[in-house]
Amino acid sequence: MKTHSTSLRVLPVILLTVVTLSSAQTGSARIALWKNGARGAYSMSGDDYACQYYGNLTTIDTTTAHRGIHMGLTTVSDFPSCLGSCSEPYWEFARNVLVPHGHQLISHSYDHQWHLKTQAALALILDTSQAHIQAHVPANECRFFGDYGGMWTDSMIKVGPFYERVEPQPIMTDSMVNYMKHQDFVGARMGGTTLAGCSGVNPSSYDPFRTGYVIWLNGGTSEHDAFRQRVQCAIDSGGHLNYEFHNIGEVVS
Amino acid sequence: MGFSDWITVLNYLKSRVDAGDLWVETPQRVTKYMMERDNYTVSVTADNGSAMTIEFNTSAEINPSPMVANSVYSDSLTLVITTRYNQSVRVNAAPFGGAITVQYGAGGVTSVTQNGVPLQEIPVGVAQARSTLRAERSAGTALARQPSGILVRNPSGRPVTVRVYALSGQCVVEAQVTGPGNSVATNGLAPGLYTAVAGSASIAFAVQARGR
Repeated sequence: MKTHSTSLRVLPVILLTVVTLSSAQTGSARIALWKNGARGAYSMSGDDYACQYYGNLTTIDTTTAHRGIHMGLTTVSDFPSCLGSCSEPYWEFARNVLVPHGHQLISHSYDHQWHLKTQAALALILDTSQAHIQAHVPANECRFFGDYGGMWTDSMIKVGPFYERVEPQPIMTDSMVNYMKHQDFVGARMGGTTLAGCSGVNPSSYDPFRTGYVIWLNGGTSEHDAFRQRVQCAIDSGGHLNYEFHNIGEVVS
Repeated sequence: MGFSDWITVLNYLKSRVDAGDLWVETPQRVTKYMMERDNYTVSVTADNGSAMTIEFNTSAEINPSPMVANSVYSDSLTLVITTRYNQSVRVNAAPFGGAITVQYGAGGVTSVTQNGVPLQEIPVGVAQARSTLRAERSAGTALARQPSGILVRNPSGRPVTVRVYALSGQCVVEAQVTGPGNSVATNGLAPGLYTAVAGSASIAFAVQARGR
């Protein structure tokens, strides 16, 4: 009798406990910081595809493909104006090789000229180049803009012992950013740096139209050390490191 | 940058990817992931002790431009799913792909599907890279260099187009092969470096100048 009354008193407590545990211990789901659960993100671009500085295309394709790595190629869309040597085979290579292998062409303006900085020319810089790329490589989703130097002065200026055109300021201005934010773009890079340390690493969240990037210079031990340090910074901070390379796979850096 | 610098960079990146530390993608895809992650949400909408239902909420406008709808931000996102037994799995799911169903028990997760389609669990670290590589290798066409041509291994036996490109990007050979194993001749090419492509497979090769 004593045992029975004890059971009756305990039973509601047991039931309550079971119900409480069941409702409290439901599953959960969240979106990972970066794809595949990685701690940091990294992206890179080869400069001036089909124009200049782009390097050895076969090397770019095969060395990345074998490692499952994808990259952007900043593309100056009006090829004939770019050194006068660019042509349809580059579009074909992008259509048939680079894009099917996961790489993406990035808008890099119409002709890489600095006079297009004016507000009136923004459509030519951005929309026309984007449309060019999309028309020639339909499978390539082109919604990212890569800023550039090359805002060369129209006249030759004496720099040290030489006369040359110089790049007085970066191409990306606030008006360009604002214009892009109301067009068919999802982001852009701006403000290339060569400063050492973690300063070139973007945080985990930032204005996508102001992606900071780092420019690879001349190679060698110190540059590789700086590169690894920046990658580690991106991993440790959960950030995004974006790099630009020139003349990939060519002997001269 | 020189070839050795480039390979050193790639090998380092690959090592960090294999270790599960780093995600390497194009700038546009990284940007889209960030914006989706920061604006979309996921929640468990049902859990009966053996099955969970997870749904995306994609209603928050990501891009204020009238030309960019949220449908542009449709790249898959990695979800970390934890059951009431504290067992976690990671899968890549499409934000507009419908509800995700997780079947599980005390012994672990038995399946994850989205709109009825199985989602592959993402392993951790090196195992992840190896399994991906195996899948890629076994899935389709493979190319190998032969003394006077390219051997095309095509397990499906279906017709596949093989193209060879010169450094200029010009297509210098185009051939269609059928059957599981065929060769495409390259002995007419001028000395230089080339890339052969068939489906998702590619191989770089050099044609040497003949000795005097």
